[in-house]
Amino acid sequence: MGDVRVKDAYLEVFRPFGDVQGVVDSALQHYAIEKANEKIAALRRKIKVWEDKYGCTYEVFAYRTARDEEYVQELNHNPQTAMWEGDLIVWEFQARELAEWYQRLQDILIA
Amino acid sequence: MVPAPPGYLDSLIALVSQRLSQVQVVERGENPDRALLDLVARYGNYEVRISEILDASGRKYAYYVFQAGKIVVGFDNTPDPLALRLKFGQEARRHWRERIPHCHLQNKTKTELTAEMTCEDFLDWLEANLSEGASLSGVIC
Repeated sequence: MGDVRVKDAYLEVFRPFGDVQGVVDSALQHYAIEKANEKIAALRRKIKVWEDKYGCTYEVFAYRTARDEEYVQELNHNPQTAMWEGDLIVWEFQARELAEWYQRLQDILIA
Repeated sequence: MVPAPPGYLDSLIALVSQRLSQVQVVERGENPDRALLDLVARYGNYEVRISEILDASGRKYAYYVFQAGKIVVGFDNTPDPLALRLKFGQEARRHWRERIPHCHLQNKTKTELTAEMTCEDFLDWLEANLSEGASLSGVIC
């Protein structure tokens, strides 16, 4: 739990609704859900580019590029996918971010 | 462990900008757990892509040089099965998640093991080994 200063003008609006802390919490929850959903949507758009390009999820791609030499050779020989290593790096970051934002959203919703 | 010291990505971009031209950051992200940079640039007639992710487990990188759609050289440390086989032979599958520094040559038809490389190492290598007149077959990791 952290302390946040709230402007008097907002408090004047919240007071008629009763429990000011409850109203502030509710307002912040709505805002947090909105921002989390925006972040998730942006990450999903980016990740979809990789999923369309490689035809699979990040987890499958990371597994296959580490285990399947024939698949790696196919990627290497295709000019569209020959720099898959750089794509993997960016995709990993985005996939991990997405997982964390889903977790944050879930935490907000059950808070 | 702090994966990327404050200002790390800015200093990386500044370093690349000093030595390459037309630097364009394609993707950048940082939080307390990890940092990502993906950029493209030019070195003479070559196109360059630099991708890095830093997290608590270390640094993953891919530094690629290409020209006319063909890869001239690419340094990376992904757990690529080709590199794993070069390093571990028949034991490769037991090491399948290990990062292996290696490079790809001749439009990725040839793979060689290398030492771990930083972005600065890569830029040094680039200036020492590639000029506008270099040919694909003349490149050695």
